[in-house]
Formats: sequence, C-alpha cells, structure tokens
Amino acid sequence: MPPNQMPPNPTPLETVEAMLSAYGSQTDSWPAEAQAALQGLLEAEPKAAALFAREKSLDDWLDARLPDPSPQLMESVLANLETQIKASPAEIVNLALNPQSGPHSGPQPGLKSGPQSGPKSNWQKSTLGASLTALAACFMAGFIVGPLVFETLTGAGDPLASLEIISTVFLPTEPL
Amino acid sequence: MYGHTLGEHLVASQTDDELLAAIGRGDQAAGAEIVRRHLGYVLHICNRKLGNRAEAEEAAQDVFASVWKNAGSWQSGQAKVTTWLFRVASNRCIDILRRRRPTANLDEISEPSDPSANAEEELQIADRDRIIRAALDTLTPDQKQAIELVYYKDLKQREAAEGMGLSVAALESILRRARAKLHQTLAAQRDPLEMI
Repeated sequence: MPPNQMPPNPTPLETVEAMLSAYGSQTDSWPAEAQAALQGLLEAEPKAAALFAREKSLDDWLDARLPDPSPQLMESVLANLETQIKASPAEIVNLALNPQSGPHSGPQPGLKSGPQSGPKSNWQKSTLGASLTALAACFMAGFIVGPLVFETLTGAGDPLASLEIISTVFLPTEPL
Repeated sequence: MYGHTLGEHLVASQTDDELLAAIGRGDQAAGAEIVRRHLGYVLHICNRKLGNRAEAEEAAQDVFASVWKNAGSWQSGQAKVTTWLFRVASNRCIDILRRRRPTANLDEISEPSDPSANAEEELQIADRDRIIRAALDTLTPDQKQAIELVYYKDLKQREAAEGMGLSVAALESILRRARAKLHQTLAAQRDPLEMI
C-alpha cells in the first residue's frame, strides 16, 4: 500500500470477524457500532452467523472452567498432606494403637479391601507399631519377672543374691 | 524419606492413578497436582450440595484428608478418581447435613431423585473443567494472561491492555492467537455435555 494511502474502512463483516476472533461472543464489551453490525449481519450473512456460533462454542468451553478455590483453602489442604507425610514415629505408634482414629470414608470404589488407611498404608504402620509395643512389653516383663523366678528357685532373700547363686551354679568357673 | 518424588516438572503429565500411587509413597508434588486438578471440582460438588461456601470448604478439606489417607490403597483401573472423589464428597456432605439437621431423615437429605444421573452430570462437569484447564495450559504466558484478564476477570480492553503494558491492538492480536490455539486444541475434544 502506498504510504500516503489510508487503509479502506473495514466492511461490517470484517469488523465483526475481528471482534469475534479477539473477544468471542460476549458482545457486551464490544464498541456500539460493532454490536450493531453484528445484529444486522446475524440474519443476513450466514458467514457471520457461523463465526458467531463457532466463538460461542469456545466461550461455552471457557465457561466450563470451575472457579478456582481460594489460596487459603489450597494451603490448608496441602498442609494437611504435609502433616500426613511427615507424621512423627510417635504419631505412627499412636495410629497403630488407635487404628480407628481419624476420618473414615467407608468402602470406596477403586480402594483395595482389607486393612487400610494412611499414605503408604497405615496398616503397615500399625503392624510395625504393634510389633514394637509387643517387643517392649516382653523386655519389661523379663526384667521384672526374671529375678523373682530366680529368687523363688534359689530361696535367696533378694533378687541380687539369687542371681549370684545362679551364676555360681550354672556358669563355668574354669576358662573354656 | 518416603520413596522417590516425581518432581514438579513431571507430575503434570501423570494420570490421576499414577499421582495417587505417588501420594501413597509420600510424594508431596503429586499431592499438589491432585489438588490443582480436583480441588475446584470437589469444592463445586460440596457447594452445590451444601449451599454454603464455608461448610463446602470444610467438607473439601475432609475429602482430601481422606484422599491422603487412602491413596496408598488405591487400585488403578477399578474406578475413575473423579468418581471416587464424587462419592467421598457426597458422603461427607450428607454427614454435614445430618449434623446441621440431626432430626432429618436420610431421604430428605439425599436430594437427587436419580443419584446416578446426578453423578454422571457432575462427572461431566469435572471432565469439562479438566479439559479446558488442560487447553489453557497449552497457551503461552501472555496469551493465558490475556484470556484471564479479558474473559475471566471481565476487564475492559483498555484496562487489560494497560495491565499487561500493551496497546489495545497488541492485546487483540494476542487474544486472537490465544482463541485460535484454543479452537485447535479443543477441536479434538467431544463435548461431554453433548452426550447427555
């Protein structure tokens, strides 16, 4: 185009095409003359109607995006996940001892049946916790009951004396 | 340390099933991606059932607490994650409605006359949300910002252009490219609502 020549005024169809392709079918924000051009063209010009329908279908898709949750809610939900993942050993043992604690959603599609809950299965945590608890209980019972049994067997007056008698009788005195 | 993490750059390409498996191994990035994909949907369900934003947010938090707890037990292929989320969210909302009206009976609370049709419609809403978000993610940052400002924030052309430091003509050019790209991306999608 020669530099001194002004571009020709766009036709109403060109105006409508330009507005539709940029702003879609929501005509409220269009300039008044473009809105008027569209109204005149929708019935008279099949191409304008087709363009409008095409952009309207895209706007329907854009409308289908659900509203974003608030950042606070996102943070809260993710903080809960972080807490679950970083559960301390004490919390895991507590979970093992109280497997019914915490929200329960009941049987759900897609979930494995059997013992379950928690990331990486709280069932595994509960088994570990129960085993550790049982081991600790056995250890403590040995400490308490053992000397009393020896005391009864040897007839000694106190647990330490009974241990001395046991060691004298049963342990070798000569080097092996 | 629980297992390996997928890394934020990888999670976006993972399926929901793969993300749940990763969450089961303690992967926080996978958890963040599941939240990004589905929190809006869960909130939408709870909002529709409860009609109260604060209670809906409380219910949505409970739903995701259940997701974190049960992710390690998820069996891929048995059901869609969105189906599970819908059911957990529905049950949680019923619990909240019961708490709100302890004397009401369950029939009064579960409002849909045809729950399966209701669930189907909600799942299609979730599908459309997922599809349009994925399509928007294909745009360049300036295209996405232009769509956000003009379409979702409903700014006037001049305000949006000023917000982006552009002329109105430049903004319109970006919007045209953005809409053309969205047309191209969405052309392959069959609108789930057309299947009703």
